[in-house]
Amino acid sequence: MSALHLDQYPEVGIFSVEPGNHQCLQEGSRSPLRDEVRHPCAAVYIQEDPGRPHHLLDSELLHTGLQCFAHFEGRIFFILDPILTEVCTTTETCFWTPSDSTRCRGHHPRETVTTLQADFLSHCKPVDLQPRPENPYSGHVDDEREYDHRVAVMQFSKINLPSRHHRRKCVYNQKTSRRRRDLALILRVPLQVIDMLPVVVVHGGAGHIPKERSDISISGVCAATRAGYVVLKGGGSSMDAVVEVVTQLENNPAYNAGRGSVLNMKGEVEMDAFVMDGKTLATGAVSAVRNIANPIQLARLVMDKTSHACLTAEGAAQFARSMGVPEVPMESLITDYARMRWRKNLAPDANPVECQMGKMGTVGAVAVDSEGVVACATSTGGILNKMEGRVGDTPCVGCGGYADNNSGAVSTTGHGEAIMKVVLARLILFHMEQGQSAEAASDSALAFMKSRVGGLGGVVTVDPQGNWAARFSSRQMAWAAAQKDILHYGLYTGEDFTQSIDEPH
Amino acid sequence: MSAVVVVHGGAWAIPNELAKASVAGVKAAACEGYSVLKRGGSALDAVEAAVRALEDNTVFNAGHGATLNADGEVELDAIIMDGKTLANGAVSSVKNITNPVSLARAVMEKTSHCMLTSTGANQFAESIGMVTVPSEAMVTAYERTEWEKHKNYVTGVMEDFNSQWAHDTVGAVAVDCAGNVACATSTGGIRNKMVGRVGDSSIIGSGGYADNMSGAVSCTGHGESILKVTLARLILSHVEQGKSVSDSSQLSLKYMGDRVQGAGGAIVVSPSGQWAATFTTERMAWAAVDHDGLWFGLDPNERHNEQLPQ
Repeated sequence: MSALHLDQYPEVGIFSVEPGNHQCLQEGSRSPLRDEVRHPCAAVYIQEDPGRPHHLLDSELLHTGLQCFAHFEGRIFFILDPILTEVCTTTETCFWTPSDSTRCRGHHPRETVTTLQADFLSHCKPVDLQPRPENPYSGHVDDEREYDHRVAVMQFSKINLPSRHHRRKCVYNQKTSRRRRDLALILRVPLQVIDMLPVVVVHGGAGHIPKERSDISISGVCAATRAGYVVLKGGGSSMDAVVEVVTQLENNPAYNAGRGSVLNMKGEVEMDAFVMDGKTLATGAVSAVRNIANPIQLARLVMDKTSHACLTAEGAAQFARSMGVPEVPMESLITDYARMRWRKNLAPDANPVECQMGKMGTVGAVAVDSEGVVACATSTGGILNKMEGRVGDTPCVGCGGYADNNSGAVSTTGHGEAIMKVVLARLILFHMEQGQSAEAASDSALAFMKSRVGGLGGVVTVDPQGNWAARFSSRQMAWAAAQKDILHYGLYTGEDFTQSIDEPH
Repeated sequence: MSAVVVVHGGAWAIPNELAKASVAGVKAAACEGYSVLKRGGSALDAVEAAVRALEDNTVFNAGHGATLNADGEVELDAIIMDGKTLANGAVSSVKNITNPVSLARAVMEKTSHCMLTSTGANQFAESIGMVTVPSEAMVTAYERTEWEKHKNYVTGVMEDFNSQWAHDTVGAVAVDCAGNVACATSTGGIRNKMVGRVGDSSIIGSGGYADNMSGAVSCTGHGESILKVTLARLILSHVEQGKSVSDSSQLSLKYMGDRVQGAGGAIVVSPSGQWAATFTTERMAWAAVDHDGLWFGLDPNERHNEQLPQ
């Protein structure tokens, strides 16, 4: 790991910033800190060396976890705080070039950041830090986390970010890119950023949910979300949480996954499932698997216990047996409702599209744990009256889901063939790598899927900082999310009901 | 607009005894694909023809000559994709079919699905009257001996891949005179793989991707790594950002090496006819035909040009 070579810069300074007194940042007339500084904090600057190319500094910074938050008068400013360096990796910092995205969105273990910053400080002039202030987050901060509160959160004014059109142009024009970057480095820092984590977001499938089934669809995702949140709060990993959530939904006959799966042409259940860990990019998937209750757990076993990423059909069943996963009779996975719809769809006057929309019900979850690690899980029975052996989007990496600590995690649902054509989950994360928010990225990718291949669907998305979105282009999607001990849920576009996590639905 | 076909015969440490035959095979397949384009065929027809030629060639790990799984059987994966409509078809873990790429194309054109697996795929093949052959007919003596030699080793895929044992995937990308792109990839997977293992080849965005807005890619290499980074789609996302096809491939393969320690190769063609064949493995047999004739290579930085055989 290379350190920042401060001795190669002509000028290095450190200063403290008092609330309401940010003189030191206002030497120039174009101060980026127009808004008030709310809490005492410290910052460091280095003088840019015209003879030293920018990319060298960029590559050094990559390893320090330090994030520059402003450029002006030839100086580059940094905040000295583990919280803030984490904060500063949020949202709009990294839209300017794709290669920068790895730097800005990298997740650094907190200890490393602190050590490196101490190293940084040792090169600086004497520090005049303020005494540790009162906890500015009283009531919000998890005391177990050993944050150094000598430095607290500043709120910066937000300037208009360039349009997407401009961003594309920046890539071709380094000069413009640099200038825009200078402008956009001033971030809005959420005040309560530290308890953004953990988060879990869950969906119970996008489609048209019949009225009589909407209540059970919602209560099921809410219950599963609570269970996932409990896992996260108890210190479980995001992978543990998403597998727990999806297992519960598979066991719930209201959804098209596990028990309650739709039937294929022959009246049989064949299921697909997928998990991915954003830290290592490890993936596990099973496709067209039969006679097991929880395909999602088998997918995780493929990830953990084999050197492969996907097992299919009989091979997956053999592997399940070798792992001691109990085989269940197919009958136990089939509900009366599934059989009724299968029969109905076989009728000569059946409208397959109408039947299909009745219940697309793929289930999925994404989560980010308190370490900032993201994960996704998706499980489905596929589509009604599918051909034997049909594999949809769900077990295909990038289609049914994707998770990467550098950008976020996505789980998708909807028209599988359309999702595959646009590799939907990966597409959303490409947009996020380009600097879009989870919500904007989800919306633009869903809109692209609709216009390019005429497909509808829905997604749940999180980024490693805990920003999340549940978006869909279909008529409905049952979804729920838990964050900061609050449960969010909805079914129709625009709905976002909230309640305390402890309150029974 | 000039038509281009690029093919690869797999990125791995190709032993010297297979080197000559591999290069001859990819050259023949590229010419085969190009002749389809010259006759007015679409990019889709061209990649199918090129990959069929590679599948029929026993030197390569696809169709005839594919590797055997842990049970000593042949299970094949393939994908084909049309960049104009984003339509795609794939088969995974299919047996007894000599040209899985054609079955993948049938899935794309004759079903409402994108992918069929295992026995379901075989039933579909039967229903459209595709000829099946006994497994034994597809296994070469070379592969049987190699498999016998190695079946007792307990090694992970990674070790397998980094040794001399593995063959790999074949693939093709093409752009036709109308500017349509297409890709196709076909493989027998990794020797001694678990029954039912599906690699990157049949997974859209990993084994291949084609979009008239950016280009077409076919990938080869360590399948599990390619899946982790969705290599084909990653390369095209760089192209979408304005990078050249060769920069995009190099960046993406380097990222795959850095992030998940996987080696591989990729061939890319853009709708305007720019193309690249790039790899981070020891060798990759590749060939391309464009308006300047036939290009081919095997070792890093090796690049020969000759006139098209008449």
